[in-house]
Amino acid sequence: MALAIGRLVQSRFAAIWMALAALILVTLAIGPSTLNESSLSTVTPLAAVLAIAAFGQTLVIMTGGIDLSIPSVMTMVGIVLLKVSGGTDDNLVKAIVLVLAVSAMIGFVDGVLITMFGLNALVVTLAMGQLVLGITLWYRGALLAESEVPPTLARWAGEKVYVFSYFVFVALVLLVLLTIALHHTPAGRRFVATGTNPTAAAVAGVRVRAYQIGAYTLAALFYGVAGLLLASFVRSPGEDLGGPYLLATVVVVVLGGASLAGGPASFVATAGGVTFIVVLNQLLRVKGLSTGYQVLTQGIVLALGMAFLAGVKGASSPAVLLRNVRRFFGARSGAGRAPGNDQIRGGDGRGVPAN
Amino acid sequence: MSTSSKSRLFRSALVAAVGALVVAACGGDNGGKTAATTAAAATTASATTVAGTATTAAGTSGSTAAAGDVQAVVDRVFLTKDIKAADLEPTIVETLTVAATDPSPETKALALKCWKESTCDTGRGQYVVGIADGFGDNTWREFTKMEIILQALANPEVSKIIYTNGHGDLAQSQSNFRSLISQNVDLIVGYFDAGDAMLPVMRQATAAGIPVVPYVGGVPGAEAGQTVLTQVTPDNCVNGREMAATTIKALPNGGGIVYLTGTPGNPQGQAWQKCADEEFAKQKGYEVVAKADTQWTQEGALQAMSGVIGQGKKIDAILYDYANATRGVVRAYEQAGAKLPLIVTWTEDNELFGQWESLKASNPDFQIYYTNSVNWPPRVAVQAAIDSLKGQKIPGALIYPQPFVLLKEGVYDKSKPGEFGASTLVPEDLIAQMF
Repeated sequence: MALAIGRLVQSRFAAIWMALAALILVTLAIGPSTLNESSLSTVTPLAAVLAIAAFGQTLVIMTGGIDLSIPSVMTMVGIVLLKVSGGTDDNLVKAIVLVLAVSAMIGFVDGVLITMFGLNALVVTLAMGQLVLGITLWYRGALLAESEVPPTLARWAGEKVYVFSYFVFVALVLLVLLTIALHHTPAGRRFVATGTNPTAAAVAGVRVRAYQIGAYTLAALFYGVAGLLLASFVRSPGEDLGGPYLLATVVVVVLGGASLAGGPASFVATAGGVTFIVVLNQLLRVKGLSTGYQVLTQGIVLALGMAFLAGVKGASSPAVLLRNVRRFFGARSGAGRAPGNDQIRGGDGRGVPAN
Repeated sequence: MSTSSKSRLFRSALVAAVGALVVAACGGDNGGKTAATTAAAATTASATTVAGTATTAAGTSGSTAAAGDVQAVVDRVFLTKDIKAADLEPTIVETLTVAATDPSPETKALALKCWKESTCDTGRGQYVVGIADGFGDNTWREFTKMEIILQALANPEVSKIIYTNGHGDLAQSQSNFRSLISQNVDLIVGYFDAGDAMLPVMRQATAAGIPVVPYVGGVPGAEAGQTVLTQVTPDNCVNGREMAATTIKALPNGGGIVYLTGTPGNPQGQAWQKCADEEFAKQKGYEVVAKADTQWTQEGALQAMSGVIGQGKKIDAILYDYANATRGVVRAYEQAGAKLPLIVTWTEDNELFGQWESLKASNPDFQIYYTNSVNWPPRVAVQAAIDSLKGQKIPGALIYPQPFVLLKEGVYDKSKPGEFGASTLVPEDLIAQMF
């Protein structure tokens, strides 16, 4: 039992829950109204949107890549939803199908460029994001006659069960499906192998490129869903709809213990990362800190959280944990990279053989 | 050629293609498409006459009939009859006198063409108008652009209009500004979102003899005569006092006040909040319980209000200097299931008004005081610059009032887009063609 608990504690995916527990204790001590009904009612919709987008980012990061096209995809979804639906329920289904299809297509193109041609994921997704944004602004035109999403969608977006927006349940369903797929299906295990060691996976007969392209495609579909929910929540999406989601998804995925070099990740831990960030940001707002102090505090907490994650990984004792943390901050306590200080793996030189 | 070489070559070509597409997609509006060549001399005769009358009557408000027209326009742009034309700066009166004349169909057609294109020839005149918009990607900016174009076309001296859009990017905005200078424009007007980061390029233009006139959002540190010709702005401190006075009038028994503004430390927010504080301090019972930044976005406003609501303090009024993002404030209250308080905000927003219409029945304290959409001051900017080119002396600052009016039923227009403001001077038939 003690061994099991010790292993759990040492698991990098459990660290976020320990950090979250500590944060909640601090919140209850210094800002309990952060967790009151009215406060939670307003943050759960946006937390769910961030979670869904982060699930997509998790898929990409598991392959060793990164996706910076999220804001543009979400903005595109909002504008296309407005124009195709015309603000009425008549074309709502058509609009939803179209935005999700376009989102997936964007991800597919990203995946092909990165995987088949070995281009750098950061560069490709950033460029694709700019391209999508440019096309979106052109499609939008100078003035949009429709400014509100269809009323049925707007109404649904405002519904909640107690303090939990309907979006939370959408995110939970996706979380369950992803977790089951990842851990309890052959495809999920092959996908994990693809990210852990593409060369070995290829040798073992896994269609590595197909899984990588699939990851970007499915991820973009998640961004589309997130954009759809966000657009329906704000009701009049503008050209800056997806702006806040550029780096937030990366932060919560890494807080959830995923390695930027690729490999196994936990969607549940990603959800933990989302919860941590949302509670932290709301606590800072409730405490009335100015924006400058909010950003400063977020930076400090994130740095400490990352250090804690680095320390927990493989720590068999407090002394080892401390050594790991010192290594994370670059202290000269030994050769080699600090745990968790992984590089983003680009496309070139990854030696992925053809399938 | 080997397979790997072909692969590298193909990869390079693909990267170049993607890069070219990115540049094309992100390219600013410099240069633009083919210029309009419509000769509009005859069709602008009526506008010329009015403009000629206005410019030769500088400092006066023209004939009795024109004075009545001007007062009607003043009432329309300020949304109240409390502002008298005689109390306004002469350049503002002159501008509104020009604007009082409905443009001819040909002028409207040319205006629409100029509005759709980045560069537009009028077929007459000698002055090239440069518009340097720091962020042109929303409805307010598009309406403002049309207002400037209409005002410019009402002056027969204008030969060309060049429009640039910085898309909120400082480097792009500065590059656009320099581009206008290199294209030998005769004047530059604009909303310089980057603020004092634009001072160097503005000085460069002024040194080259090009009058520069910022509008609505002033540029701190821009000296009249050295950096700019003048600035067409409200007095933000007066606005702050007005917001406080409006709140005190609406809540005579005091209450908890929340201040919201956009980006942290923005000069507009700092100015009005300081003066609002001074006004509240003169009264008993008014307490500013929270201040927050919203990044000028609806989502930012929603998150900011989420935190403020979470503080659990009694909120009786919210003062926020941007009506569009105020929609996020309303959404936060809806989501929290709390009753909406008094809101005092700047500019108009049709959708916000729609929210009020649908929620006022269940929120008895929910009132909105707002101002006009300030799409018209940019007209003053371009008129002032043109007048200066003709030798007129222009004051170093053109300050306009910004009265607050109470939102009433019937103001919300379901047929208009969310960001539409009724105080715009763009003719209705032209608005219909803009969408």
